Amino acid sequence: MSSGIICEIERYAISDGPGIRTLVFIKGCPLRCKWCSNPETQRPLPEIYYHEDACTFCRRCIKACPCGAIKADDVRHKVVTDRDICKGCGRCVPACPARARSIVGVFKTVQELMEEIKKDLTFYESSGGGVTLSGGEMLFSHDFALEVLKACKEEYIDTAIETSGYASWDVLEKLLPYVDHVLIDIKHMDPISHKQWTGVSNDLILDNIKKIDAKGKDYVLRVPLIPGINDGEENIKRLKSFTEELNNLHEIHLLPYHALGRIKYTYLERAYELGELKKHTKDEINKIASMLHMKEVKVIIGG
Amino acid sequence: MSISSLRVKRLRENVLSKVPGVCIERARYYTQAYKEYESYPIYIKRARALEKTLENMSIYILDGELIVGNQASDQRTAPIFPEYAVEWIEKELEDKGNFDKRTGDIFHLPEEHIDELKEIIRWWKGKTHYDHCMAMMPEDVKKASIIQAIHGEGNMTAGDGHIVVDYEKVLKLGLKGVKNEALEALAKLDMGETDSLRKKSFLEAVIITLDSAVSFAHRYVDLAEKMAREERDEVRAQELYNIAKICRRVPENPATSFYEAVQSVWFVHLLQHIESNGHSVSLGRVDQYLYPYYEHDIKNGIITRDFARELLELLWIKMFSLIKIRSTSHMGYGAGYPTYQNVTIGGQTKDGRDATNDLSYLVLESVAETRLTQPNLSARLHAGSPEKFLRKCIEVVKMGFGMPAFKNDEIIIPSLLSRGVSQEDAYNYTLVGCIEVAVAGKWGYRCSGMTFLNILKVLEMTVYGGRDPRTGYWLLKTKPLTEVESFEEFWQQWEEQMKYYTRLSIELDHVADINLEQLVPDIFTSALVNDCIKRGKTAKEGGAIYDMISDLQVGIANTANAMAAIKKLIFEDKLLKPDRLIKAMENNFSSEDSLKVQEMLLAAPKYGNDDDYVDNLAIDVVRVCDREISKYKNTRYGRGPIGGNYYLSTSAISSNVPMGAVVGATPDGRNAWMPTAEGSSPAQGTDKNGPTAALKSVAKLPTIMFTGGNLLNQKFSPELLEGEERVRRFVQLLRTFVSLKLWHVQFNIVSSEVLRAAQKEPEKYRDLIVRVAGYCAQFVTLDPTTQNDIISRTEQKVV
Repeated sequence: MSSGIICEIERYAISDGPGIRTLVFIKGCPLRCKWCSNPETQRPLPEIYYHEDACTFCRRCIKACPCGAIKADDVRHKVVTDRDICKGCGRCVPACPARARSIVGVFKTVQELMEEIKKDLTFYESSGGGVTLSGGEMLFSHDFALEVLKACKEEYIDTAIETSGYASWDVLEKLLPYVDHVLIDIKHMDPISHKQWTGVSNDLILDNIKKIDAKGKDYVLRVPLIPGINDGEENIKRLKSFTEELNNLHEIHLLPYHALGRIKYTYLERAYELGELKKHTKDEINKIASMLHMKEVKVIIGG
Repeated sequence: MSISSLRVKRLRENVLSKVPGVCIERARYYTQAYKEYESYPIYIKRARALEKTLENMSIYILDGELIVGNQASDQRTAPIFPEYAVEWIEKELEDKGNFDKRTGDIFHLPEEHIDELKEIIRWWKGKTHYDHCMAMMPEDVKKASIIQAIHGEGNMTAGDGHIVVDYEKVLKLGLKGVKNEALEALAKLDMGETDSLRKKSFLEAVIITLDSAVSFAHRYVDLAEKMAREERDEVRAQELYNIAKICRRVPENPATSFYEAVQSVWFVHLLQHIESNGHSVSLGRVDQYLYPYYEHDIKNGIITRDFARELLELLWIKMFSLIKIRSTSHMGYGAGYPTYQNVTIGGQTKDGRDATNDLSYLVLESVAETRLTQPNLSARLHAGSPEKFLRKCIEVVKMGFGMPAFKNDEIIIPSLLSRGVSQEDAYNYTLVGCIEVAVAGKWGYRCSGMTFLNILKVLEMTVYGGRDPRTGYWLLKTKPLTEVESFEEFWQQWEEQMKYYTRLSIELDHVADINLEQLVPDIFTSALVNDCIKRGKTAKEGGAIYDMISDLQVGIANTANAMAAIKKLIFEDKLLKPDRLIKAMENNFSSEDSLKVQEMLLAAPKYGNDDDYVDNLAIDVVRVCDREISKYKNTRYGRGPIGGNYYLSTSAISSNVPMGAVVGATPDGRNAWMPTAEGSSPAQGTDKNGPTAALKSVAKLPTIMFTGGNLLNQKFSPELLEGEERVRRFVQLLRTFVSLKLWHVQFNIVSSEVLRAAQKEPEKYRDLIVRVAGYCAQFVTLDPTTQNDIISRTEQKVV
């Protein structure tokens, strides 16, 4: 039985699919969206959070590291972890007396994960809820995801996936029979801009959306609204014409930008490249929503 | 704004502006009557004392009031009940000169009354209920009380309370009808029988109190008429004449309108608060017994829905005006001037149909409108509760004052049936106080206990072999943790201690009950509890149809967590040596090594996260509590009532604070003197997996055995209830609460103040889940900027 790296399991998740759900964050993502609010879910390995404020510069972590990934910065009185060398074994975590280090991501087998998922069965049944596999990019760990989804179906648990859609159609198609709801992102309509802001082109994603639509699967399009990046009139118009081509689309979720994950970049010793973005006002978001409005499609802000 | 709501607004502001006071009138007239009737049977003495008070105490009608009747010389002014205890009053007057220098729950006694009160105290010294209790109390019970493994002061310095009388009967027959029952019972007495003289004086006492209740209402007739004659505003004059008309009719006669019914209920409820000072005197299922009057008046165009709501709002303001003064040493057990006057809505009818009606909604709306700490509103839910009822309840929950609390028919009814309550009565149960249940007008006092058992203290002492590290008392010696060889052996030692201290808690309960029965019987209250009149007995003598009570078990979650830490770290993983643990406990996790120990303890499994390892231990802890308490009978056993036994309850109000304040650092990683967990809720800050996990953990406990009630409090951030989609999920959460067969759940919607407090003391608020943006997070784990962001958002959204 395969295992996956799980960042977090959130129970009583109420915005990612119908009913009361358990949201599973699987680590690993091929995209590098600059606005990502969960950067700890990107690398497909466990990682170390470093809480610099708590660090007393005792250097015990340096001794504990078997890979030699941690170096002292004598000038700034802190330690620096070379993230390319670190394998996330976590030995530095208990070595730190100041609790300045913690690990994010643990390996779980399908069975272990299912035990957690099954704990809220009663709530799924009474609410029409279930499980939502999220990430990272859950398709990045598609073998593991497939096993989890199959196991859920054996227990008659409702399933949803929350994905960027960035995977070959073969991979996605294999999962779909075990998926009740698809929540799929459109981050930008322009392939070049998409590559600029997320690291990959959007051809595959848009193509997959069309195929999901053609299959008549229950799905929702989710659009993170990033000020100055994908909220321009031109992009929204292109998005509108794309959605007009779809036959089975009923819901679009607009997800307003927030910088609440920014602190995590510091923990990961990475830079947050977006800087200060001006958040949208309610009116601005409503305007975009009304631009996307169609007869058959509900546009929901938040989600 | 309509005129009616202006009236409510003014009276509400008026009562909220009052600084709580102390009134000595009742003490004066009770003392006079006790002197005058010294040689009379206790029943007559008590009845005459109530009568004298009702005849002479100050009465008033406030500008704009439509429901009249007052407890003392002013609103929010506590009468003194010297017959229960005077020692604490004397001590506080000696030490502080007044009651307004306390750290909490301040009361002001007017300077000019201090001397008279001291005089009254002098007469009572050596004669009170408390004095008799202390004289009777066995030595080891006294010592256990000093240890604070057990606490029974509430029952020795005050009356029982925790009762719902037969309001329905009062409305149908009037007090006149109840008096007729007493007259009939008197006429039937065979005076040659040995017990008949006693019965006779009880029944005569009943008649005295019923008559004096009627005369009391007639005093308001005179006052209202006098005020009406002097009133310049014609509309108000008319209102006053109407008040006079109504008080002439009720509570003496059956109510003929909704207005009369509300006034009648208020008089009867009020009089119980003058006769005795027990708290949790509750109104019961008002949406059921008031409904016929409401329906009739609405159908016939006698009142409008708005006017009915206004009357209810005025009733809630009246309830809020009632207050009780407690001794400083008992104050922590019920902090914030609580009186726990419960009102129950919803649920099922006697024949098992959904009981929700328009009055249920009106009660919800009116409680939401007045937003006071009284009444304590409970909503009964069942599998067939209408969606609308849940939705309307949630609208009130969202307002953030913790009401209504939800109770679950699907477990409470089976629990009552298992105790021998009839099917009809079980379906008709009502809440009393907080989470306790009884059948209105048929149940004796205190379906919940007032004797607390501090099971975390017992656990702490077990670690030290039975010695209490705080007082040095060593009542029962068992093997300390350093000498046991297995977890099972340690558990056995704890069970031994539990057996011992449960028995002491029962002795303490009996001491209070015997003296309450003999010295301070409530006559008026007993008259309205079936079958006191028929049996010629007070409720305390076994007059009630049902009489079952509970002990109060405090510290379940902490004890389970401590057991889990000991089992795992010491005996299974062998990461911790007993003496290292004890050292860390002794220095309250203050040294470097102790901090490491604390960290290990905190990382051990914690109850409330749906983790079987520790939840199974919590179940075992409860089973031991249940087995021990079930061995005992209360003082009414075999004297008439069904039951006469004890059962479990975690309706321990705010006792988790004072009970925690006597317990040193414990193996669950809790610091010394910190509060224990509330009821069956997870320990503060230890349930990190959200509401479904917490509900699941609590659902594993054998809830059916907690006939005295089982409490779960949950904190919720307002975002979780925002918008139709999320409200729908919340409805589903509540539906699952019903199907999981949990007893009670209350949601406290957190305010920005709470969030600020959490920033300052994160260790206490680890369980605070907030919705950040598309995801939920533990508030305390967020960085300060994000926290501030959420605080400002909360401030915007919660008015």
